Amino acid sequence: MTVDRRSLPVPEPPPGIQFPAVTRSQLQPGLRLWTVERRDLPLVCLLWLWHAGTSADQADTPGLAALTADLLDEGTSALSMSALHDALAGIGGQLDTDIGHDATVLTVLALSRHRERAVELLVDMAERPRLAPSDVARVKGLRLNRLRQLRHSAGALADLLFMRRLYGEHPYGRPGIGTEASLTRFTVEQVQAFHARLVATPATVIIVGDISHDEAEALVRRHLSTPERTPHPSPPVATSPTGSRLLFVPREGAAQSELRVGRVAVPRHSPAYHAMVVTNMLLGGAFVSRINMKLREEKGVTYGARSSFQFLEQAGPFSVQASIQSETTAESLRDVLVELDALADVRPVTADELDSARDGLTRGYARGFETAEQVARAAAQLALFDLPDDTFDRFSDRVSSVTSADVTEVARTWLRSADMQAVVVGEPSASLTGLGGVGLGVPEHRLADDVLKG
Amino acid sequence: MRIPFTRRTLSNGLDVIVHEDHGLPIVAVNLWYHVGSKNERRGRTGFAHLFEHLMFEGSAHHDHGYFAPLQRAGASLNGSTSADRTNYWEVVPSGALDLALWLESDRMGHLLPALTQAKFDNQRDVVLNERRQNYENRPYGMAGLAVAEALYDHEHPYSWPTIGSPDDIKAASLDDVQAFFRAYYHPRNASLVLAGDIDEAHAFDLAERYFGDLAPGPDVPPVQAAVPRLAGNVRLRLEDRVELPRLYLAWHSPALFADDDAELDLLADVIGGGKTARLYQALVVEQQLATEVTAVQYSRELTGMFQMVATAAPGVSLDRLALAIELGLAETREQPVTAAELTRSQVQAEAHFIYRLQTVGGFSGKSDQLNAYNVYRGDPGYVGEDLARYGRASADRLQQAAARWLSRPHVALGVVPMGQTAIGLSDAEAAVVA
Repeated sequence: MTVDRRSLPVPEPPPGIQFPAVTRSQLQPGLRLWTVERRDLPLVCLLWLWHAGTSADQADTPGLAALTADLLDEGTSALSMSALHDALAGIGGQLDTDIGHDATVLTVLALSRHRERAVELLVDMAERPRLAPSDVARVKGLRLNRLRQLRHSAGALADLLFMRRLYGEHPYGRPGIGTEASLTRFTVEQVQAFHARLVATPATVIIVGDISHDEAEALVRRHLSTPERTPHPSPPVATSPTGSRLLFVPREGAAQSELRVGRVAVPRHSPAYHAMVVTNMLLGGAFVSRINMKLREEKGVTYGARSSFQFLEQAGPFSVQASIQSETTAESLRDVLVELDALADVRPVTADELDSARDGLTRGYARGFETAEQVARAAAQLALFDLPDDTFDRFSDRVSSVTSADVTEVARTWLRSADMQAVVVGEPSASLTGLGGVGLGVPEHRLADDVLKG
Repeated sequence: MRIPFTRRTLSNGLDVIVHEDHGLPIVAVNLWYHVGSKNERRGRTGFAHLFEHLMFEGSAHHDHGYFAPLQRAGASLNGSTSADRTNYWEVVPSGALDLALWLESDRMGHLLPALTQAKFDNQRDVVLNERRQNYENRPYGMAGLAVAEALYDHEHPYSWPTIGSPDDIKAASLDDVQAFFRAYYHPRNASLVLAGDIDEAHAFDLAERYFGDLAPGPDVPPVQAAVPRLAGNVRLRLEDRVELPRLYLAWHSPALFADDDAELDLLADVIGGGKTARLYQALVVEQQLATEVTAVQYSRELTGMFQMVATAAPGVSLDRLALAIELGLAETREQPVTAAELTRSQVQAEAHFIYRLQTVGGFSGKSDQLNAYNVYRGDPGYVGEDLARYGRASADRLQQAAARWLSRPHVALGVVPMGQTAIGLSDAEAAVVA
């Protein structure tokens, strides 16, 4: 049988997906255990989620939450740092510590034959980290070095300055890693006090894999110690401060410009969530999106350009991100702004684009739930934002019901070039040329130290 | 440890390997061409990778972007080029498998009619920007290129980077594309895996239907290269826009799956894998000479490289750091690692193998592993033996491997902040980076 190459095969729509059943227990006031039993492979993924992240830092202590999180695996009351990591390695453990604006997450992937030990180590790290003076001093030093290295990473610098520009003094505008001044100042007592507050913060433990709910519950309970948990206050509502809309950070001899364009947008609980996900998909969320097709496939000025809405407890940012060939910086920034405005009026979403974006999201949805860690992290989203149990099961229907009018509404409300702010980190002569003429006003110079020094 | 599979070879020479996994309604399509930057030559580098980009720009019967029909079908897809091979993959909902195979087979059989100068020029610019983004504009981004230039003879295929030199990329022509496609992109030089929610018999039918009528293509002789050797130690410096100096140490080491490969992989973990590793404990925790240290046995088809990377703590010279590392290495050459260290690293290796079984597609998923074993070993079922190598390793064998490979001449490269050569390696020459 030969292939008919006159037209592409038409795919059959995939079946809807069902998020795996989550078994839930309340272990203590403010502490939940959620499990998903999967017996296909001999592994378990353990995730400890605290409902507090870098936003829990005070204005004068940026970086304290992240420093504390970084110290969780530097030894526990029972084990020195080196003994702890010996133990983790011995169970096939892969440990991750993540801190975001709203959450702090410890994840351990382990072989299920070592699940008892894995749970013990996880709870020990979460509740009883050692926080010894010598370890705190050492890790503080390492983080200071990392922070100083950021000065030379154009992308990281662009991200930090972009968030500072968008959010100003709001917690989302602070560098989560801290500043040189704050990191230098922190004392062991401050770290210990922050941790004491952190363990008294509501948490959700999520366990996915080769373990039953009852066994997981018994194991977690065996090691718990903290009695009472009270929530951190939510971060305040976020708005952008006034000021220059275009910041330029000189980087002598840079091979490219790092570009960020965006604004403060909406929180996770926005009723427009699904419309925004679809809008982003066709604007800059995928390879075939408008912005990437323009800058990469038409102009060849970047390896890739993308956009995203970051959904947080309070309004998160919309951003366009790209590394751009230096001499095309102004032109590329203008192209991005033109694409944003075009979606609101002169080139509204086409029927084909809308179908493609919606189908791409819904038909590919199953892929997101393949590994134990993917399932655990998805469940963590439900826990963190207190989303309904059927959120993932209903995602496809909700995305499919987004209309072109909804997309136009998102573009008109949230994506006007007149509301955008931009940061460019680049070579001063090549990248600056023409930048003042793109419509964002005169570029105002900034230095890495403006955000890193503190 | 095994990944169940069935392999058949089509009459045109295409290997087809099928693995069923009905966990999710998705199928992974994974296609390897046994060609990479090692098939290039000096002065014409970067071509295999540039070619990979062109594979996404449309083919004779679908002269549009490759991403659009697949993304709207719910696929994720990508490709990558290394020194040894080029791979392409899609993970699609089961109902979109025909679409993926139609497109993969069209670009394997019918790429050239759709290739234009305009597409070529565009993707050449994209690749130059990829190089700027991932190498030139990234702290320490050029170090790996400088190490390879120094470690291998000028004509050795691992001496140039897969991304290529800008001059070579700019000099590439459409004629080169056509010759390259004819030489390497055909069924005899390819291996196809279908893994996931699919019935085995149906999978082979589909493979035959879409790929069966493509012409086999010429024989691709294996790349020959002399066993690389260094006459003596090489000391280099590179200035970069960085905050802290960083030391790279590189030795020649065994090729992928050769004797001592697994042993050196385990040794790398013992001395430089995570916070429990010897050198992390010694250099970062106790002496505080470094802010990070890693070791890796980077084994490839022709030969391997054992590399250590350490970033100096502020105020520590690279000479001092190099001396501390040498003391640690001498210990591994002179005494066996402890039983506890070995067991820990073996468990880590086993866990790594198990965790990789979680995905059917993408980079390093089951489909990619089956192809790697088929292309490099001629045996898609080699995963069991691959892991068994780690189980057979002993402390004595690790010590012997360390003594054998890590006492030979090596390359030491110090990357220092612009203008601060004084804290770099002494007696170092300026590194050459293409």
